[in-house]
Amino acid sequence: MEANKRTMEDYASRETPVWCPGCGDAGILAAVKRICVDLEIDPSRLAVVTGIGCSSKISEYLNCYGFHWLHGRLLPVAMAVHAANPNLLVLGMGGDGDGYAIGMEHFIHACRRNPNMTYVVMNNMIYGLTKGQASPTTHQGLVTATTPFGARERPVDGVELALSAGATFIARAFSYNQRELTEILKAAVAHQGFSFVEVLSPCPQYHRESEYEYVRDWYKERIQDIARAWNEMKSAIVDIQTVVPDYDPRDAMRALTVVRKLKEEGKFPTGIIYVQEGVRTFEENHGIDAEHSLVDRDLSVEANRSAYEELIAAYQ
Amino acid sequence: MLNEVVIRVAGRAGDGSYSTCGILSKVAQRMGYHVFEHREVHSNIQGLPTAFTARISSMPRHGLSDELDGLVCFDGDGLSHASQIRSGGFLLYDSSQKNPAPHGKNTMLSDEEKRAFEERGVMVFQAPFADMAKERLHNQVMRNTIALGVVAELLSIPSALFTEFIRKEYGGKKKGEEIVAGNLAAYNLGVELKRANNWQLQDEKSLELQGDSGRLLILGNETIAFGALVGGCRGFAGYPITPASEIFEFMMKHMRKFGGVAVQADSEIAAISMVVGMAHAGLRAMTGTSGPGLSLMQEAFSGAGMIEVPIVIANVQRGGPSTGLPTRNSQEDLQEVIYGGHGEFPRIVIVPATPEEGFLFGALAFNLAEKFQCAVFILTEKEFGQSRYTMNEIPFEGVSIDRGKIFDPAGAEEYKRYEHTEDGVSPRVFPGTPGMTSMSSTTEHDEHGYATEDVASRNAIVEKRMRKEKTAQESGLLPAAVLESNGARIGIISFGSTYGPIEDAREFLGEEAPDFLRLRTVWPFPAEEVKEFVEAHDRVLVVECNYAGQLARLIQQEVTGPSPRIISVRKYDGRPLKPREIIEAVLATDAKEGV
Repeated sequence: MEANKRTMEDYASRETPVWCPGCGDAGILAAVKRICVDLEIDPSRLAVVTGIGCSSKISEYLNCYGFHWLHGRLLPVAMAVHAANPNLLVLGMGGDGDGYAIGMEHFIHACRRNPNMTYVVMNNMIYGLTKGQASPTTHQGLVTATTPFGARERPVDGVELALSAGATFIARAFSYNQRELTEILKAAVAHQGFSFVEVLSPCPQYHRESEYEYVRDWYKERIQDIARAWNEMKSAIVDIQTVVPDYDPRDAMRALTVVRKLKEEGKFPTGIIYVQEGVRTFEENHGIDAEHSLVDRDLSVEANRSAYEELIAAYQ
Repeated sequence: MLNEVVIRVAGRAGDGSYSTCGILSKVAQRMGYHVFEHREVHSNIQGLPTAFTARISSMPRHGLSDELDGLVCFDGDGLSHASQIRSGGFLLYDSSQKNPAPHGKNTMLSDEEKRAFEERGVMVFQAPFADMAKERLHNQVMRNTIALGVVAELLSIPSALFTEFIRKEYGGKKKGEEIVAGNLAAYNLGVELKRANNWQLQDEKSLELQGDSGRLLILGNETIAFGALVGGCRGFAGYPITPASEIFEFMMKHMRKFGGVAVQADSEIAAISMVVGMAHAGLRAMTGTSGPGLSLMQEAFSGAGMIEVPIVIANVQRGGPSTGLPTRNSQEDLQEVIYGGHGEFPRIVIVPATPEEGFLFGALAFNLAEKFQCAVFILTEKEFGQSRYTMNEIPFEGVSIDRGKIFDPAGAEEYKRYEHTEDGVSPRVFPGTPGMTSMSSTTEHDEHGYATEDVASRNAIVEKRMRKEKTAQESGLLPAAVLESNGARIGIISFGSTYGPIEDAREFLGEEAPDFLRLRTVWPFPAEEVKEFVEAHDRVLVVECNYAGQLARLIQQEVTGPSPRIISVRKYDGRPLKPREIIEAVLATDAKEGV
């Protein structure tokens, strides 16, 4: 069996990625292939729905059922694909502009509906493909093509937002940290319900930090493991006598506390931030059997005729 | 012999007058009559004037008549309809002073006003229905049912039929038994009132039992939804919007039972994207919307055109632009469904005008969408969607399912999602098909679905996509225009719910009736049929409910060029077209010299 095991190459499409050198998106592509190998995902069971932007090109680079849709609208497509055929492993993938600007409506509603799919926001804090305009996650002060005097508005925090919108799996990873990213993605696809993973994905081309030679260093100073952050926070609380427990991603208030505290410091917690098990999924709420694709139903008039005829009585 | 009675109930939104008219319609349906039931309401929940009309006839009708046989009027505002009462007809007027209609303007009709009606042959029956209901039944809403009792008695309809429907209509509700008892008492009050006053119709119009026909009484919107379901629709996503919501509500109610999924989306943009996702996954999927929602979906129509996913959109037109007249009729979106979206992509637009067509086109749309892998619009309007029609039966036999080209993975051929074929249609494959993968993209792509901006590839794939429109047009599957001809010099071309009033006008004109070409597919444009019709007539009236004369322009653009033969007849006040308006246009045209 081991000999037949798929390799990362089996998940590569015929297309060669055309991302810039150093682009964080390449790390995300590698991690997706890695989890497919590790979880032995059949490519014909993998459906990847993407929006528009550099990151959304990822559906072309994976050997799967790829669907490269419109800017900001990947989530309603992805959740509908999974509802129609729950046998598929559905990944929705797109950028921060896609998900947190034009697609914000769908993000909030996907969180509350809890479809059994994984949504990966590849957050590079910039509009890359349109060549360097500020995005909803651009931090204050960053000079971009559309913020010539530095970005003024406060950035969107997708993790905090997902917490309040009711997402049942929330994580953040850093694209250059492959090991953690891979583990998080594996946990995300295993989660029953909507799993949201924001991956910090540096854009060396347009995310220009004047004091830094490499943008990765800017990130490295700002990312912090959430469990470690909690431990540091709790040790700072000196006047409480009781033992404060370790970080527990099942505790939404604890998650929110750390997320907000680090945000004030301009930092990004990483790791599995929040998990809530047992929430009814979108599919369950619509009576969709996880084992059977709706696509396989017999549509013929004959097969359904008697059930159709039952509807007539209401009009007679 | 034609037997026809037209009764209008004019009330206020939320006051139960719709139920009053509805019970009358149901009783007439049960008696074996055809019914066309029309609603005219404000965009309002409670308080503004409403008018519901039951046109009860021994033959199928598809629109309002010019005249009413009776007007049931619950307050002064309803008298605006009184001029439509025919000579020999009646006005049943609620003169309640102590319990006027909510927001109503009730006044006693003065002797002078009554005389004015009587001089033109209109009988006036005046009584304080609401005051009676309040005093005798402690509930002024029961005034509706008192009036119903009077109408039933005037038309000699057997009481048992009404009492059955009163039980059916109210029995299932909260405090059902109490409401039923109250309404039965109210009904009997009405019967007694009529008898006590010896109110009589001058011409003894009555509805006689024709025998239970087993007919359905169904909204136009519901025929589309029912047809879609039988046509194999198993995916629906919608967002509430008047006057399309009944399609959505039907699907939310019934879809699950048939193993499908129906979703209330977060917006029309989400709705159409969900439909695209369902369709891509292999479900037959649709949405229903109206003007503002249709506009929000435009980007996705282009997306669906590019990615070649088969979707169905029912657009139930209302008065626009923008919020416009949400509850009123229009045909203003013809250009939008034909030209909407950016870039160029093929599409099909079909237009039902009868409940049978609503059902059959609702089903057919999916065959067309899947065979040609494009968006199919069912273009209709408030006048069709929110009117109720009797239907003899559900034409199940008219429905067959053809899912178009689907790739067979067992074959030896390499799969190319956008393979260049002679007819422009490339085989689909549903995600999850074992042993395969595929790429679908809104970015311009090669045959495999991968992005390319290569000039030769771009030209080839644009031509492949657009070729599907011609394939569709030549397929013989698009609903053909219906020609009604007796060799007249004047012709009418129209589409959709103008059918009813045109049918009435032609009936009235008899031997002088113009010929009529009713378009049932408006895109790809049926140029041959229209050309032949225009050439065979001196003058062609193009009748439509919009300001710009969108169909008249389309005919001149696609067929005739600027032509003095084409006379545009338009109506854009949001109200239904009346037979008289068409008769006048025909007579005015007849007076002109030939071309």
